[in-house]
Amino acid sequence: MTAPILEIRNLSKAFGPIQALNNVSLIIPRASLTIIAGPDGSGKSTLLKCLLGLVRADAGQIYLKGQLTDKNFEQIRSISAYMSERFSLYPDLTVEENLDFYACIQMVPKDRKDDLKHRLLERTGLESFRFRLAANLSGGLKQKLALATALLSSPEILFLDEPTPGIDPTSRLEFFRLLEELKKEGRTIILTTPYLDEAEKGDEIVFFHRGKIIKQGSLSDLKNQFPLLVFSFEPETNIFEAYTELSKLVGPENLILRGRQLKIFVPEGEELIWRGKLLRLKREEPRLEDIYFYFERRSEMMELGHDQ
Amino acid sequence: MRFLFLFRKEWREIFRQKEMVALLFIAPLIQTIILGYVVRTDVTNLPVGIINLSQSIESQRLINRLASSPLFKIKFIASKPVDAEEIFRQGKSKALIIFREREKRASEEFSFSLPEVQVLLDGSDANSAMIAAGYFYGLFGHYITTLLHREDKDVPFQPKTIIRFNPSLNSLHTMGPAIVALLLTIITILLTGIGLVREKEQQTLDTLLVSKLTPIEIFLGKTLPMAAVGLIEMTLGIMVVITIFDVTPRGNLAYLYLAAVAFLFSILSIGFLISLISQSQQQALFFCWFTMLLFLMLSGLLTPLENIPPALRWLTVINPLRYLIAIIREIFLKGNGLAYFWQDILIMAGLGLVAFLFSLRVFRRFVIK
Repeated sequence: MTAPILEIRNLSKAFGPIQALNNVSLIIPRASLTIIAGPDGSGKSTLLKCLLGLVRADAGQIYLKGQLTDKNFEQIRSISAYMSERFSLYPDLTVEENLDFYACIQMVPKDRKDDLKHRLLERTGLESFRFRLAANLSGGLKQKLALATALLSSPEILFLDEPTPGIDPTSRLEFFRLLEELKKEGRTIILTTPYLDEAEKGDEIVFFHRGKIIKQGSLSDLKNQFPLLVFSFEPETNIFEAYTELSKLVGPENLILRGRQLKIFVPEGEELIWRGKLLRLKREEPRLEDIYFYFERRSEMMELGHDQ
Repeated sequence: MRFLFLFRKEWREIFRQKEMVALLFIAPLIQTIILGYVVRTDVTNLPVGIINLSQSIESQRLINRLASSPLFKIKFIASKPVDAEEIFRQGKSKALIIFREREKRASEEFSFSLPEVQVLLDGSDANSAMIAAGYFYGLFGHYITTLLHREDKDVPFQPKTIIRFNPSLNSLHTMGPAIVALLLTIITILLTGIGLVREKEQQTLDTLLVSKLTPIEIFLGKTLPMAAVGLIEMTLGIMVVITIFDVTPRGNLAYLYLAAVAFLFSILSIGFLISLISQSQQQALFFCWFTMLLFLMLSGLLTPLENIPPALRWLTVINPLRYLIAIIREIFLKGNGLAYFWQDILIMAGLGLVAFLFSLRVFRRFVIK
């Protein structure tokens, strides 16, 4: 059996009192799109930086194609490209100059550089913007340029750290279409995002919360294995009162307030009686955000229980 | 030679910003000219008040001498006593010269009768007061000597002062070239200080770190463009000193460039270190200004190094600007060659090496957290 391209075992990292990564273990299969989703400050970027050796992990091991990297990150770096949160572009250089510079520092051979550059400009639709300063590009074009610079070294692994904030929906779709193509070419993509709708596009979805993986799996696995039924309920009384009372009844981890509606997670076959009446609930298909919030709350409750 | 990619990128970035080009190459020229004329230690146009209670011919002659000197500007001449302290408080003059008639002739030997002269100085500007006192002493002394010579009388004791290298004691000759060194410091430390931290803010530093560039190559790629800018600036500054200040270098300017290279090695390493430890450009600018002020105060540019208390004087030893200013003055004024200042160059290079190694250590230990 072929070893996964990356395997992380018990990775931990603390910045002073803040535990950025807490015993993280993860397997990244080859030619896959793994999306690490979680709120800001949950440790997603730290994980990517640890994998590239930009941040030194306090504990844990990283295996590249089955081989322990053991603090030598040259191997990982030599087959990967990294796109940071703010695209890593030089605003005072043109699109072409940015590409040239990155090609040079990634040691792309001279005879391949021009051909590769033209192909990437064409592929990302940047051909007509090649002489424009990066500072004057729209968010979507900056993102494409950053991706193009990352692809110059023809990496096997692409680390994309929150590549979509501030990008319009059309550009996002276009971006994920490009990622899909790259995946088909056999590249492994690890992408972090705070947006759960984006996470749905991943082959493997990893939910991060306070430096820990709280749940992972494919979209279908996450939905099918969700242990509870999801119901939506629109109370006629004050929604906040209803939330307070119902959270005592079902537990706060099983209740989400969304607009005028409450989402309730209930085990199969269980009926809910509130204020002396059997509740008429509307069953729903669990959405990714329901699953995330359920596991996030559960993790918080467990932490709280553990602390106490 | 992979650092050349970074060098070329830095160079492009500098010249792409028109404001930056103006700031780098025009502003320093203006600064050199203005500073050269402003930062002078000699006293000219000192406001002087005269109270002539004597009304003798000799007192009038002395007043004429004072009036014709470019060193003094006579603000008023009174023939009655005035409240000297109030005049100083109001800032009307910085010196008061009072001529009084002598009650008794000093000696029958002389045909002339000099008035009594009292000089009152405003000590709130101690430096100017001290220099002015010397000027007055010299002027009156010279006047008396002239009178004695006219009567074939020998002056019992008269020291002969010969001033080498800058006989007119023109401070422009000492300050002008030294200001070039100061500007070289300001520009290069600021540019390097904000260089890497800007990469941090743009989040391009991480990409550089995961690239195939080594820390030494990043150091060279980031600092050498600033060194080139510094050397161009120095050349422009020297041209200003030669053409506008009319100070002709007596020594070989090639030695100055050699010294500048050693100096830049140390100053750029310090700038790079500042950039490494700063988290924002604002923080880096603060560190740079603090460092520059310290270097300036301890350089011997504004006050002689001997004036610095011994407890603090050791700090001047680790100040590279001190050596460059000394060398620049030696080349411009004394015409000295390498034999006189090779040790200074070595010390600057040594300081540079220490700062360079330290910044590399910081780079490896702190940039990767």
